[in-house]
Amino acid sequence: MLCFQNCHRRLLSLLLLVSLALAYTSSARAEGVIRVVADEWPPFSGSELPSGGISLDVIETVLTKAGYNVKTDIVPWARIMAGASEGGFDVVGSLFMDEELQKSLIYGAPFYATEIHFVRQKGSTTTFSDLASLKPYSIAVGDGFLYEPAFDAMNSLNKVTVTTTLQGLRMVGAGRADLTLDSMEVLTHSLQLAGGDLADRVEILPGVLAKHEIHMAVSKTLPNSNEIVDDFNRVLAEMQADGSLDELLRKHIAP
Amino acid sequence: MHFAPLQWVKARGMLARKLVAVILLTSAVFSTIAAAVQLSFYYRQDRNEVLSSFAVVETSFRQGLENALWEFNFDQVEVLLDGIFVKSDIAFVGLVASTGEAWERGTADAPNTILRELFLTYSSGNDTVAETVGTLQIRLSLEGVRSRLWSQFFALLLTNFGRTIVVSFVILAVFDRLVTQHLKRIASHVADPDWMEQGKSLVLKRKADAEKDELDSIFDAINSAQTASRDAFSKIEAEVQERRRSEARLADKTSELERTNRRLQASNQEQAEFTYAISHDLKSPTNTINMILSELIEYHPDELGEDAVQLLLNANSTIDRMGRIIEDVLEYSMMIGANDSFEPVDLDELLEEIVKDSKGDIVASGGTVSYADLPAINGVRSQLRMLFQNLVSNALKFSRPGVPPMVSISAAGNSENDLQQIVVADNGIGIDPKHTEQIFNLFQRLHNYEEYPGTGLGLTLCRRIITNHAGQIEVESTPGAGTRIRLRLPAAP
Repeated sequence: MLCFQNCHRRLLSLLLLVSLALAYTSSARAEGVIRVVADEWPPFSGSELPSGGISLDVIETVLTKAGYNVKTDIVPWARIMAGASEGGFDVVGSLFMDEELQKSLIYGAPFYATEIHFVRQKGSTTTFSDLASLKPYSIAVGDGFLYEPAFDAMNSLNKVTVTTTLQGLRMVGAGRADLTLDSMEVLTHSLQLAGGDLADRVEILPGVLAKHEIHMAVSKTLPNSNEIVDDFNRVLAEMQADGSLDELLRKHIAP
Repeated sequence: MHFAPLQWVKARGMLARKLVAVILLTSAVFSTIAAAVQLSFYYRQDRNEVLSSFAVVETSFRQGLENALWEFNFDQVEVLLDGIFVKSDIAFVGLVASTGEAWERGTADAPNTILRELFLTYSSGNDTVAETVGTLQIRLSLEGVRSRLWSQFFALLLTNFGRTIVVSFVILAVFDRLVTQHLKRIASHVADPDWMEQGKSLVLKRKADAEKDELDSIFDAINSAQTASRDAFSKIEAEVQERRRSEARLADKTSELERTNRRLQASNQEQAEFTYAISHDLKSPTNTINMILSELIEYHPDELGEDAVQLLLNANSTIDRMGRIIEDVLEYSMMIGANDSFEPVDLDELLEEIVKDSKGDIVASGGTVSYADLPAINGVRSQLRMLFQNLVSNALKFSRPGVPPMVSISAAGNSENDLQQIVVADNGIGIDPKHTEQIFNLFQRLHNYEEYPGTGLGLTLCRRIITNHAGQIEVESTPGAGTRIRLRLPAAP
């Protein structure tokens, strides 16, 4: 969930990223291996997911096709921000576009787009039309998650903090929260993961709060960071053009 | 140098070993009691500490679990349950969410546990009624408490035992030095058979303190006893010597008495033989004189004249009386030193014979002689017959004028010292108390012959017979009211 981290964590992480990345990237380069990391954010990235999830699968496939020797790994977000203290990294996957991160990373072209939807208990009259319409409701939000700037900044809403999307879904299913929200892929994946009748007790509202693109970014400390980004963008465009990207994505996203 | 504890303990003496045994036993008892109290305290304290885990869980984990369950933060639930379960003495943690999820840590059926259930609720700021979000079960194991209790028990046991052993050895050594060695010295000193005579005082081989203790007292007492004993021994020795001399003198006296007794017996025998011989020799001329006087009176009254006949009658009467005296003396002499054989004599049977023989005298006196239930006597039948014959005869004879004599012979009380009491009582003239001893003398008479004829030998003879039977004879009498003669004769076996 690289895109949902709070500001505090971000500042601290950036400092660590810069300092520690300098210390470790040299070893990765020396070996000629590009280490791609992402945090646990199914279905985009996760250790239990096939090929490491959407992001890692796409990034690895694209970079490999670009001629790079790639190694992927799922690590906690804190460690990613700390600069991969146990071995370093070169590329970070599963990223939303963020200005702060752009200071230390060079973003590649987006390879996937996702929409943020609200979920309510099935049969509920809860509705979403705009942010003001959310005021009467309790909304389960992920701790530190960034959904949409205006929504995130709206402290007047009755937000109930949870740590995972599945928690929010369960709260809604049990009637302990009126709404929860996340990207469509995460919601769908979480409902599948939850099992039982949770999927029967909640429903995803059609209204879209926000739309985000998924990126990968290369550490600026790499001497050939721009070259890597260019190679990635080039091969990605080729795959989008020949339909191989869609084919790859269908492997992860159920129709 | 080899140190053998058992031999060392044995060498300290029985008294010291007993002391140590008592100390060990007492210490064991009190240590056990103290340990029991201490362990009981430990157990309660430890148990309370374990039970306090419930409170810790309630204060530290309850709200977190309630929030985590409310928010379906199952990762947090897992972390919290691990946090609870990691605590010592918690054997099982079970959580069942109201939405159906369940978690377990540990073993639910662990033995010796205490179960506590917490009903977890969640109340949001707006809700007035709390909603149940789950039930937490915690089983606290007391096995740890028990295990620690045993550890403490063994630790106490070992420390107390070790301490007691060390203290016992120290006491044993100190007691040996302070007491046993000196007691052995005392024993060795007094074990010498001549310790009292040697004049060698017991010396206390230790530092003399200003204040004397019990051992000093014992030493002083022994030395004093030794001194006193020597003095006493000297006195006793002197007394023994004196007694030996006295015994020698007594032996001489005894020999002398025996010789005197033998001489007396010989003299008695000689006297008896002499008396018998005199009596026997006098009897014949007396009878001859009596016969001559009778013939003179019968065949020559005319030649003699009336006065002479009267004188001869008087002489003849005197000769008769003399003859009876000779008869009595003869009988008495036969009693002296008589050595007839003893046998059980039925007095009822004997009295029957006597009464039968005395029937004439009884009828003549107008009196009665009664007896009943008399005991058997171990004696010489002929002598006993003579005894009772004399007593009955006297009772009939010494009757009050105009008063028919009533004589009774009866047994009085139980036998004493194997002597049977027989009382011969009458209602006669009685005897002045001042004469009650005199009447047993030879030829002693209290009345003139004409008033109460007799030789004066009857009661003398009675006492001789009683003496022959190692008995007693006593007279109790009230003049004018009668006499009671109490006899004590050996009872028949």
